[in-house]
Amino acid sequence: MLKYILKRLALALFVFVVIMTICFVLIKMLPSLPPEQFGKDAQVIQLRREQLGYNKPIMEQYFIFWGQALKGNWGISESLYPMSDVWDTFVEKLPYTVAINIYSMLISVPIGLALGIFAALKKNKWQDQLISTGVMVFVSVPSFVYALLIQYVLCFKLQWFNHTIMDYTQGAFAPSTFVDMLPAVLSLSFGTIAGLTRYTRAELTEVLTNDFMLLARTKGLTKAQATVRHAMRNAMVPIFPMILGEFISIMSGSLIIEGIFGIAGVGKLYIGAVNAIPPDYNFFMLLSAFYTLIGLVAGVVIDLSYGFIDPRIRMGSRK
Amino acid sequence: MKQRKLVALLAVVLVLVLCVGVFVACNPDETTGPSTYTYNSAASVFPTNWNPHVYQTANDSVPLDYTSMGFYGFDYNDTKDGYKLVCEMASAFPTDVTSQYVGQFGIEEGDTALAWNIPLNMNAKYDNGDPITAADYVNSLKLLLNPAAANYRADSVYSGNLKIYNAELYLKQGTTSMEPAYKFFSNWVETNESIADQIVFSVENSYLGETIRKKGYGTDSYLNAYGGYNGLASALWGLWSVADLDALTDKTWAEIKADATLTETWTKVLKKWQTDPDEEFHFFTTEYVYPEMNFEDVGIRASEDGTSITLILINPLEGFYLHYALGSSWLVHVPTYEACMSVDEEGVYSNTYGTSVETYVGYGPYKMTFFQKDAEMHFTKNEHFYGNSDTTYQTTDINIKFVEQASTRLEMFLKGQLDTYGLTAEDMETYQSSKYTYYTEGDSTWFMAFNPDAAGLVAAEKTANEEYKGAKVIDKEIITIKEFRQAVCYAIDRAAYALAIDPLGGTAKALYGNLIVSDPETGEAYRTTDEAKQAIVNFWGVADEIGEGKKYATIDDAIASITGYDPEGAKELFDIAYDKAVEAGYLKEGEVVEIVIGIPKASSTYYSKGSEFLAKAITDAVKGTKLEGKVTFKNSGDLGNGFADELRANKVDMLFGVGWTGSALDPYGLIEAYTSPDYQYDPGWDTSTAMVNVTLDGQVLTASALDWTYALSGYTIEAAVVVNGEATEDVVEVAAGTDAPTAKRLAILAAIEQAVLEQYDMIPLLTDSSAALKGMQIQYYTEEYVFGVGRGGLKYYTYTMDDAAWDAYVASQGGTLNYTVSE
Repeated sequence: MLKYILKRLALALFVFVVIMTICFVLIKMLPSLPPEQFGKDAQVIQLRREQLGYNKPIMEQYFIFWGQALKGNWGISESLYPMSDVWDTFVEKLPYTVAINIYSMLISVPIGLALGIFAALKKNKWQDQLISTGVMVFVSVPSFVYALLIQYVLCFKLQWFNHTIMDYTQGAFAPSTFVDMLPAVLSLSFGTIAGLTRYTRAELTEVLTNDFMLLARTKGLTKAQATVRHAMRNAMVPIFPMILGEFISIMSGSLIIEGIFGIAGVGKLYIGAVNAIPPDYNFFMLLSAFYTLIGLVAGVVIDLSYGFIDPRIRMGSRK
Repeated sequence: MKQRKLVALLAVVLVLVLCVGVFVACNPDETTGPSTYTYNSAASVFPTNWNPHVYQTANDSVPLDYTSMGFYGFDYNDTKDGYKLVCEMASAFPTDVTSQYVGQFGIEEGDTALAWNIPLNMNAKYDNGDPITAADYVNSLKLLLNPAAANYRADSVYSGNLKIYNAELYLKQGTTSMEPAYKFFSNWVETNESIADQIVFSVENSYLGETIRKKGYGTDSYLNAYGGYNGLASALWGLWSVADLDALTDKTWAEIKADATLTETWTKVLKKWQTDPDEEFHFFTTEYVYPEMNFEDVGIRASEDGTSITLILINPLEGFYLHYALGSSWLVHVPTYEACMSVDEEGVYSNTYGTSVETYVGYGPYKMTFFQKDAEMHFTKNEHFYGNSDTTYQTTDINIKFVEQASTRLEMFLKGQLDTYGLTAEDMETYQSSKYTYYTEGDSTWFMAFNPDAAGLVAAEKTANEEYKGAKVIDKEIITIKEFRQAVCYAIDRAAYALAIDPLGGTAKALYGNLIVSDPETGEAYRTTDEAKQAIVNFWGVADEIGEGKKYATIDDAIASITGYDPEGAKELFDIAYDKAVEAGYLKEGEVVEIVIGIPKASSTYYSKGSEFLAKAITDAVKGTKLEGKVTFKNSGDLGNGFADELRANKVDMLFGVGWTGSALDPYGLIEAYTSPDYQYDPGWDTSTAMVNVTLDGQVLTASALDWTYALSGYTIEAAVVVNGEATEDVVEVAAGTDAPTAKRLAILAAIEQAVLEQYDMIPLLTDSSAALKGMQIQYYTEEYVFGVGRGGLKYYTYTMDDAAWDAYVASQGGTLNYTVSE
């Protein structure tokens, strides 16, 4: 097992280096002309770029980047937050992204699982058909559409919520921040709930028709006991990795939702780093590393989780 | 069983936590205190760095607007219909002390307006209570010009009107650059021996390369196409072979002289070029190292008692322009600033000053109390501000939120959470006649731009025809024909264009809009002057139709009638252009004109709708002419900020929505943007040979458009006297800098404006303007917008009710306010 884990980690590291190298080359290939300004001394901008090392050969810049990144120095922002340490800015904004995603998962997972189980148990009845129809709608429509609808109905018409976080002084995890984040959280959650419901229903429906379920009932277990103890455990093998996968997709999905609800997370940074003129190389590389690591680590965790959920699955075993 | 209980318990705890959170959030502690008046607004772009030495955009400067002051600032004049400059961080207007510095800083006997003493406002303090002294200004300037920092705004003290002595040299000390040799050396015959090792043959970094770049051919695409600068120079001038230039490149003059073959090549190259003495230097570059310099050599001095500073300038500057240039300052809180400085292992300098509440100390009417990146910022009244009074600054708090979507901002505004909302095109139908809607004209004009450079267009045409395997199908040279561009100018219905892409925009009839001020001392708008009016009627061809018994009774009537849209006139001109193009061999049977429209950002509806509109307008206009069906359009890919260079290099044929902005009080300086090769979108128009007639003191003089521009910058030029429409050999020296009479400057400016317009390279389309809803809680000081002070700003805004009463009022209206009332 340990050998398998080390192998997976080594592979993940290799993929990480390859992705980062590709990102580095691509971002350096983007045009980096500063905007023209009447009366501006362009030499000052060039002096600064010289200091930042952007006029050095690209291979030299590449090795400097890795040398500094390995020491935890991700560099100084040139365009988005001029003169600021990109790591500091990232860390300052990260709690809001984490908060919105955690809240969304806390809401989505129980509801998604519950609806999926309920639909599976009521297979082909009106309750199942209602849930399945809802699932189709929510899976098909992108999250920003709900976001705008929620904003209009809940925030403007009914005035149950504020349009954005009204008091940032309380911090990312304060109760008032949670309430102000709810419209954004709901917008993010609908798609996840629908996805989880559909997947749970499909898996559970299949498991419920297995012979061992009949055996469990004939042993004298109630339907609930058989479902929870046997059907759910089996169905969770593919569902649990999906939950982790949903978490990653929410992280990327929050990129748009953060913008709509004015939430000061890291989502906007990634697009901003590429769109900035000149592009903000250091922010782009830090965020590329962040999202790449999340994906890679999640992949490893998902693989390993199979073994924990179902002890029959042995990782890395030759037999 | 245990597991089930545990799960149930966790679920209960989760629900309880959520309920408590919601309860706490919905029932904040309510305290009572003195009345507060909070100005709430929202921004779609948030500041990222408001360090006065580093900030880059208008959004970045928002915190500075509330937390800092210049030496002098704008205020209402006595009648509240205009502005005046008043003292802020200075206690009085500066006094000329040039005579005290004769023999220093290059000042000579008799010089004036080069050294100015500014008495400081000693009541001014930083918002943490620290006093502000003259030493703070000196030390702040030293930090601004820190060579290690290369601060973005360091050029603010040497690239504009205000040029502090040695500021640029101090900033750039120790840096090296390859500069054209002609800038540093002269008299080839006497000096070439002594500098033989210092000058190196180089097309790229010599006068030749400089000229190539000014002509717009210095872009990568051109360099790649012609194999670098030597190939470009060879193609552009047609004088030299690339092999000859390659042989000499990177050789010092000493090396060339020592080698017989190189000497022979050099002689051949020079012979084809030289027409005047010393043009040998045109081929050479030299390494220039900015010398080390002490800050004591920079033109700023603090008085011994710390109550005043003296600025020593490179160029004379006085009156309004001096005071205006001192409308902002470089002052920072030095101890905080220095604590924010750092240099990493790679030697990269960084400074976090002005990026958070903790890293910033201001000195304006408000103090920053909270800042969350891309989220929210708060300000409260600065108790240490010298200008606090009972009659101004009623606003106690400022709260600015980041809200990206305009629809969200509107909803928040209608809920009473914002005090102002900038209307978008989509909102106009609902709110255009609301009594809460305020319209404000901007100072920018947006143009359609062409670059009629013949060589560039031929090259572009060649590239465009490559896909037809040698056959010429596409023509672009017709763009060099002025009638073609003039026809395009008449073909655009500007009112319809505005409606399609920018409903708030107005019809642009000239280079400058109504907000441009030609006499800053009096605030007189340029467009209201006789000279500017005449330029417009001359350009649009209605000058002969003004007067008693004619079509227009007055010049104002004539100007009011101009729409810029004349489809019939356009058709006539298209026919003339066609005939000329055929006669010149540009356009043959079966060929079509292809115009590539440069698009900076394809995803923007402004550009997609705009290009569609313009293409259709021109296509419609050529119907029924000889060009019918022969003019086609194509959009470029995303050009980003390189759009201007693409036009300069004729990689695209037309731009729209372009222009220069930011000099509302200095149209004389801004004209350089249209006539100097450093800025021109159309370097194909050689302004150094384009002659412009100007009538000064009853005498008609002629000089190039570029020379007249230099004259407005304060340089003395020579203008030839014109008699009976012909230039004579009699010349008159003319200088029309800031110290010249306004009438003289106006005459020159209007003549240049007309010359630029008549080139039809920069075709005016729209002037910018904006509209915003004002919240019911606040009251503007004046209904009319006044340059410099707007409608009063936070200094003069008053409130109809305090925050508590406002919340109650909004609640009493059902939580949503009606802003569509029109009476």
